[in-house]
Amino acid sequence: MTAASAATGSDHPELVLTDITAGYFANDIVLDEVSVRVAPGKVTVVLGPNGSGKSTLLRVMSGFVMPRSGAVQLAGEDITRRGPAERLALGISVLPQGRSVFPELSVEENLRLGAWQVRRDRERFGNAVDAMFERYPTLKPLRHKAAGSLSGGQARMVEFARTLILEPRVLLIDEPSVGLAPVLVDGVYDELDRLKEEGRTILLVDQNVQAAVAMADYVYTLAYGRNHLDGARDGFEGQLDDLIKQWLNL
Amino acid sequence: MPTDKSTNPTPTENIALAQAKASVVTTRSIPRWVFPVAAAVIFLVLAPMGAAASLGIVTTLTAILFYVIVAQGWNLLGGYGGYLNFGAAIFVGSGAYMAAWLNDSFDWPVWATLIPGGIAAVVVSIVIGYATLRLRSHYFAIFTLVLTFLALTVVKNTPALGGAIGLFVRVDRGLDSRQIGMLFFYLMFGLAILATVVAYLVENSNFGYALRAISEDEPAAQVLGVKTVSVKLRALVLGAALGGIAGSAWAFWTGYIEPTGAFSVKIALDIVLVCVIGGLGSWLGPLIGSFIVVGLEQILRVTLPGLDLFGFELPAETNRLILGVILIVFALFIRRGVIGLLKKRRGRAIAV
Amino acid sequence: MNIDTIVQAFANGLLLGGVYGGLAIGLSLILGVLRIVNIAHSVIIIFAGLLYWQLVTGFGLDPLAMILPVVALAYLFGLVVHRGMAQQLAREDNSTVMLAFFGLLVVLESIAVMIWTTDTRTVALGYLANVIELGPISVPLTRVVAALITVGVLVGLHFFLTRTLTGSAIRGLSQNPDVASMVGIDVTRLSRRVFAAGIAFAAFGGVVLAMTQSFNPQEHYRWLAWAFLVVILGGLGSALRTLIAGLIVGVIETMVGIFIPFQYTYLVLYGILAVALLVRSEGLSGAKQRII
Repeated sequence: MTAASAATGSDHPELVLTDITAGYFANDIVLDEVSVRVAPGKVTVVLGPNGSGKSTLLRVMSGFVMPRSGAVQLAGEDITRRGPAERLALGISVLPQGRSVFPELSVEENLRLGAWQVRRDRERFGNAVDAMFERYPTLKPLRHKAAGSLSGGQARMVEFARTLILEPRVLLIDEPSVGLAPVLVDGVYDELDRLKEEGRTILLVDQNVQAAVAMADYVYTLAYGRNHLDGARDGFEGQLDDLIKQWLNL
Repeated sequence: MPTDKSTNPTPTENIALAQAKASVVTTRSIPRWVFPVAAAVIFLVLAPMGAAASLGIVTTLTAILFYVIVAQGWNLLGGYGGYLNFGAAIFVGSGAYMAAWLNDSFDWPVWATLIPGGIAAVVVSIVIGYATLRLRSHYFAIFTLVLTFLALTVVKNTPALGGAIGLFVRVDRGLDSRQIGMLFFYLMFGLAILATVVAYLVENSNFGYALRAISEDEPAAQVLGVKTVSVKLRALVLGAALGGIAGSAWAFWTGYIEPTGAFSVKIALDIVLVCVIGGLGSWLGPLIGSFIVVGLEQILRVTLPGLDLFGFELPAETNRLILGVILIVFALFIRRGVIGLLKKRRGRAIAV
Repeated sequence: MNIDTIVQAFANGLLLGGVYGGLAIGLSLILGVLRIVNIAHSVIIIFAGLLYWQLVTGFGLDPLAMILPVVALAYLFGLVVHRGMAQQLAREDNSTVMLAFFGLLVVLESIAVMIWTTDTRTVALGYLANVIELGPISVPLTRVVAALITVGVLVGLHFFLTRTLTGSAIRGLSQNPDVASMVGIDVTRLSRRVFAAGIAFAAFGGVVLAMTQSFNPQEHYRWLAWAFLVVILGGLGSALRTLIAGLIVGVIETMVGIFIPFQYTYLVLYGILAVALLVRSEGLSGAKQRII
């Protein structure tokens, strides 16, 4: 119910990265003039072998890494120099790779911290937390349990809920199935499908190529920190095998 | 430890590799022989001083050499291993008290007490090491600081060790002050060379590499098969032995020891400063640091009492206050000490 | 020795233990949340104690009213130290941080000695200097007041950390700083406040210590040992467990004091500290994952 508002909130909630060059130390370049457009209401997938710069790209989008050159725009507005907290306030949420719950905090506290930015708006804060328990009813009976004691799948749901709690305009998802037991992976992609059906704007970075492309609207591939290929999903499905083989040879 | 199997590294690995190589180049920029030669020159210049220089200078130089011995010992675990010991005074004090007690009770001369002094410090260090070296480095640090105070209280309440009053330590009575000055200068001189050679050998041994691996990433070192606890314990014991031996000599040199002087945080601070200013984890660091710290303290001692601040005379603690500020400044901005500065500057000049 | 002696010692131990909880909580908070080993902790305790002595005994001000100014001053000082020192070292390894704090210890100790000399000080507490008789036992009013205030503060802190959103954020910060910044918590600012609060709690410990005991600016290492012992027994960052651990240490100290001369009781506590380190070493490394 709240999902629709996220999708129709603006005419062009579109994240655009133009010619991004970035790295962590003085003399390394992890991303070399990479450009990516995240279309509104679509799922954009970024693929690439290990070390091709996918995660760094995501960090540039979320503001944890400042690019050396290039521009980041949200809905036409330049946000290149904005920090992570500001970007979150503008509607860019990240679901990081691996376990990211606060293990010693209860499920409810985890969700409440997800809504930290709107804590002064009591009503919105309360509603946001309630809405997430509505959305993930399985979490409701667990609300007072420590998040660290949950199963892998339940913890992943807490992480999804925490990421969605502010109803972000753009969802950045990093390797959602990494580190999960195979039986839980399907559950994660079911959840991603649901997000796609709700019409959310999603950027998905993934190594699970088949599953990611299956839900993609548009696909980018990176190699050695540069743009490699890009195109609509249909163009990709046929050549997936070639692509994977190519990466294995890199 | 070498991992030279470079099988198709990914781009990021390439980058990491290139950086590692770059950093190696930086530290190797000064030819390897320069540092031993520098140390040899320092000792060669010092050698005639004991006989030639005035008594005041000999005393200062003896203090410097004393710090060199203790600091070389401290640097093994503190500098290479990254396990800071804020209780250097415990080892110095144990050695000093062992020597003083042997002298007081059995009239032993200074030569005979050096080894027992070292042993006393070693025993204490083994107890401390077993209790704390299995834990993370900060527990070791906090424990050593606290133990200094414990040692102080124990000695204060032990009548056999002179209690709060302390013990007099008598050198051979036939010598005049000039001869005594010379005697202790050359005693410390010899010990300082020994300590420096030990540090040099450790730095270039597998033992030294193991210590540095512990300092960089202890769990990883453990996974690689470094017996971390035993390596740390060995470094602590070796350092304590040097501290204890120096302490024995020091007890005879000052002629009188009492608990607050022997187990003071001042000694610990000085030793930490010597290593930090000189350069942690470098065998030349303590040598250079000792000159700087003792020189600095002499300058402060001479100049401070003359100064006054808005009509108030500066109290003696100003000295320590300034040293504390210097420590903070080095920790914040000059982490690799003077040696680090030398290496860095040369490295950059070549890279450009 | 009769039963009254034991009851008296137990009561004394509880009152003393309350103060010990106050001595340790600042250390526990900064270590637990920020992973900073504040070895200057005890010097801040003693500095605050001396300041309190100056205000109450020196200037004759009200002993209860002077608690807050000292603590507030320490909070401001904590903000400055974090900005100027601790924050700069956030990415550095443990040993660099400890070196800097050792420098801070030396600086503060020197200043304290410069201002107040090395004399042992006792705060004259005026109207609080009564003795309460409760059947067979008698306790000084100051100790009761100090212990009650400490218990109140620690219980209050416990509820703050467990029941408020900011408390959740602080615990979250200690568990996973990266994710804390991902949910939009200003990690640097929150860290600064936690650090300053830790310093303020240390100062609070100094005030309650000064209310109950004589103290000497150069013997603060003993309080570092005690605070450290309480932290090891109680674990990191939990105010309630810190309080309980403090009470245990206090009771042990006074009980031991019945049997052996006063000046040797500390030896027993150091022995307990050594044993605690050995026994709880796994607990401590385990506490890296579960803080609070």
